[in-house]
Parts: sequence; structure tokens; C-alpha cells
Amino acid sequence: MSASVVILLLYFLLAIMVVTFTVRTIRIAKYPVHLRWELSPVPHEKGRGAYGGSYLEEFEWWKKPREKSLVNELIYMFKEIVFLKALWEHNRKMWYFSFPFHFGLYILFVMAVVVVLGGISGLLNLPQPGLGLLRTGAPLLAGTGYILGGIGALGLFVGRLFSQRLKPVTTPASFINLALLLTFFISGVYAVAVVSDFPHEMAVVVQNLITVNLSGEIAAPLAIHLIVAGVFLAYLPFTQMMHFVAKYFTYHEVRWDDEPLEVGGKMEAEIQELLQQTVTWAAPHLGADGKKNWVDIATASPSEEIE
Amino acid sequence: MSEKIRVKDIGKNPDQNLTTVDPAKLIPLPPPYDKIEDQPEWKKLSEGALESMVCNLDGFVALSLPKPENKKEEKKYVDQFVEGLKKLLSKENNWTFLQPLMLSLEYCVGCQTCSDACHIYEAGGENEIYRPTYRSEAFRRLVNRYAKPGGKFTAALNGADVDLNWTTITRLAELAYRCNLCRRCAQVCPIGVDNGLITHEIRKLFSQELGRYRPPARCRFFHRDERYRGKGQHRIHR
Ligand code: SF4
Ligand code: SF4
Repeated sequence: MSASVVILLLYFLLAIMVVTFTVRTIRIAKYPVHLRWELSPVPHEKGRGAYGGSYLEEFEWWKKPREKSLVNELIYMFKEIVFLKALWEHNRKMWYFSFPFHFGLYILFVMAVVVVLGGISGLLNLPQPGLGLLRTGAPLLAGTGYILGGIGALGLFVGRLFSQRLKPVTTPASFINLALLLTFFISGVYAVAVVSDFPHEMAVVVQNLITVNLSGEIAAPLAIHLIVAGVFLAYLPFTQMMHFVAKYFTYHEVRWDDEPLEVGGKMEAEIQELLQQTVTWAAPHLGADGKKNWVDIATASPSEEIE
Repeated sequence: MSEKIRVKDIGKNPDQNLTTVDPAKLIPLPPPYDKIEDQPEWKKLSEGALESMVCNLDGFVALSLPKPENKKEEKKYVDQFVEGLKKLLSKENNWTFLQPLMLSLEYCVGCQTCSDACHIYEAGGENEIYRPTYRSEAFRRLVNRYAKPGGKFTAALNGADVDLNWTTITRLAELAYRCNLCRRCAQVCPIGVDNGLITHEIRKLFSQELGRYRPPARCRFFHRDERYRGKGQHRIHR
């Protein structure tokens, strides 16, 4: 297949992906500070995380330095991200498919990074140690990634199709997401199997993308796989498959966010500003008349509230 | 039977209960309460009560929500709800919980891990409507369809098939009181979605926009709190 078609299409799809991904991530990050809503255990609570404790147990905690354990948090994250610990503990049936699915994707992600770095170093004529190893190891690794991912995606798809339990929360989009992923994995396995020098061909595509080189040909199975991958990447940020980004926020900015308000600090300043906003809730017991702000309402006496 | 209830059923058949609670299916209580036949029968709602207020979820009423007299009145209530929905999703009126709420509304992957952690669902006979996800999904679909730009166009894709009517709204309000906000569901959710928080926010919408809420148990017990006297919102009907 003509490289120009594939490369141009990839530019277009990747551009959609980058823009949407960035916009959506920034949107989550820019929500205003919220009230504390942490959920024990908070792993960075040094010496207390294990039993769900908190620095609030300490007498006059505000006079003492806070003790945090980044290591505990990282261990928790590692187990959760790599092994899907929560699913293993609480939903074993789904873990059997979700784990290979996610692990397959991780392998492919690592593969993609290696291929991109290989492509860049090739362009810069840098020495490429282990190139031979990569040439033999990469197809094996990629094949494993595609097969694991495919088995997982197929299991999840079939599960959604037949499980009465999942039916109420399954939408047409759930099937589209999984079908697209399945196509991606199958086309990947096929490309690895039939394209003679898979890592080299991939590195060439990366180089063509970087140097805007539209000449040449790309083997059809690889071209199809790349287009499917591009479509998937462009579609991903529109869906709840962005949960891998959301999960950072649900954990770090909600479940584990136990940061106290420091008088005179940045958070206090932000909250002071938020409190100046006018409240327009209509229920009479709030007494919001379209002029009062959060402070006015929160400081009104209860007897006034029922007027 | 309960397995067959779909999320969109929340807005259908206003004159029927969406489900019924069968005492035989509830989690057994320890002795001396283990014999169902010895239990006093649950009180039924009086005819008068049934005429004036909505009772169409599971035969129980936590909030005394009115039956609209006519279409115009129904529209008024629905409009109030939509107004509340917009406020709930706005920084001005709900900055206090906006980020956790949006994360919980937008990133549930529908794995149902949370259901097994919910005592209401487990002890309540594993009734479909008591799943943590049932209430959240109905609310999510309303938000997706009626409060998001282009929601009507993407509805087919994201299954936003819940009708916006007084039946949906009142059942949703009742369902917000089939959860005690314990957050066990959030504790086990692999994504960190918080169905307890969604309940909290649904209650907030009804309280702060429509003025419908259940006062704290303390106030119901003493019946002396000026704020609630004569408001007709403190009764629990069983
Ligand atoms: S709330 Fe969490 S556990 Fe429940 S279905 Fe959604 S993602 Fe799964
Ligand atoms: S917060 Fe509500 S939905 Fe979640 S487990 Fe507790 S009772 Fe169930």
C-alpha cells in the first residue's frame, strides 16, 4: 500500500488523538479544589496506611511535621497498575480476561517505545546496541502482546454479550470499544506473522512519520494494522477508555487527597475565591436569592434559613 | 424477575412499582428474627397517601413527592430537575464536589465489581435496582443526554435511553435513599468511581433545587425541629 496514504492518515488520526487527549486531561485537572473526600486506607500515611489510619489521629497534628511514605504509595500503584490488584481481589472472574488484556497493551506500549527510539536513533545514525536482539525479540514480544490482548478483549466481549450481570451497564459503545480493540489485536498478530522484518518495517514507518517522507510502500498487512491502531488512538480519548488517565485523578486527587488546608496557603486562596461565587440553588431553605454568595449562605443562622 | 429490569425501565409504567421487595429473598436475620412468618407485616400505604404522592419504586416511600395534577405541572417539576442538574454540574453552585462527581460520571467501565460490595444490594435480595450502578447509570444517562452538549446525538452510542419524566425523577429520588453513602462500593472500584458520591449528589439536587429531602433522623425522632415542622417531609411510610 502507498506509504503516502498511510502516513497522511496517521498524521490526521494522531492529531485528533493528541488534541482530544490533552483537552480532556486538562479539563479533569482544572476542576476546582473540592471538599475532602479521601477514602481510607491512604497508602502514603506513613505507619498508618496499613490499618486505614490518618495523621488526624495525632494530638495537635497541625503542630507536627507530616510523615508521608511515597514508597508505600508507589508499591500500591505498581500492584494496581501492573497486576490490577483491585480486580483480582474483588472481581476475579473479570480479572482473568482483564489482566491479559491490559498486560498485552503494556507489552505493546513498551514495544512502541522501543520501535520509536530505534527509529529515531537510526535517523540520527546513533549506534544501536542490541539491534540484533531487537530484531529477533521484537516480533516475539509484539506477538505475545497482541495474543494476550486479543484473548482478553475477546473474553471481555463475550462476557458483555452473555452476562446478565453486566447487561444493565453495557452500552453500544462498550461493544464498539472492544470490537475495535479486537480488530487491532488481530490485525497486529497477522502483521507480525506475515511481514518479514516487522521491527525494521515499523522503524521505517516511524522514520517516515518523523521526516514527513511520503514515498515508498508499506506492506498491506502492516498498513492496515497501523490504520486500525490510528483509528483506535483517535477514538480512545472520546470514550471512558480514558479511565487510565482518570484513575490518576480518582486516586491522587480524591481517594488519597488528604492535604489539610494551610492558613495563608494556595488552597485557602483558591477556596476564598470560590466562596465569593453567587449561589443560585432554588430551594427555599437555602435562602439563595441570586445575590448571596457561599459565605453569606453558610453563615446564615438556621432560623433565617426557613423563612 | 428482577434481573430483567433495565435501566431505561426507570422511566416507564408510572402507575406500577418498578419492583417489589420479597421478604423471603432478603438476607436472613439472626434469631429471634429469623422466622419470616413471625414478623409483623409491613405497613401498607393508605389509599389517601397513594392518591396524593408518588409511590412507584418498590412499594416504600422515603420522600413524599407529589403527583402532578396535569401535564403542565409535570413539566414544571421536570424543568426544576433539569435546572438542578445544570447547577449540580456547575462550578458556581457545586465546586465542592465537581471533580469527584465528574470523574464518577464519566469513567465507570461497567464491571459491576461494586455490586458485591454493597450491603443494600446483597442483603436486599440482589434486586437489580439496588445495585450501586443502577441509580448511577440512570443518572449518568440523564446527564449524558440532557445536560451535555450534543447529548441527544451521542445518546444511541452511549445508551442514554432514559426518558426524562417525573416517573424517572421520582424513582431516582427514592433510589437515592436505598443507599447509606457508606462508600464500600467506592472502596472496591478498580477505577475509583464513587457511587456513594453520586447518591450524595442526587440527594443534593433534590434538596437544594426542589426542596425535597429527608431530614436527619434526629429531627424526625423529636419532631421538634422548627425547620421541619409541618413540612410533610419527615414521614417514613412503610
Ligand atoms: S462503579 Fe466502578 S466497580 Fe462499579 S461498575 Fe463502575 S467501574 Fe465497575
Ligand atoms: S455507598 Fe451506597 S451504593 Fe455504595 S455500597 Fe454503600 S450503600 Fe451501596
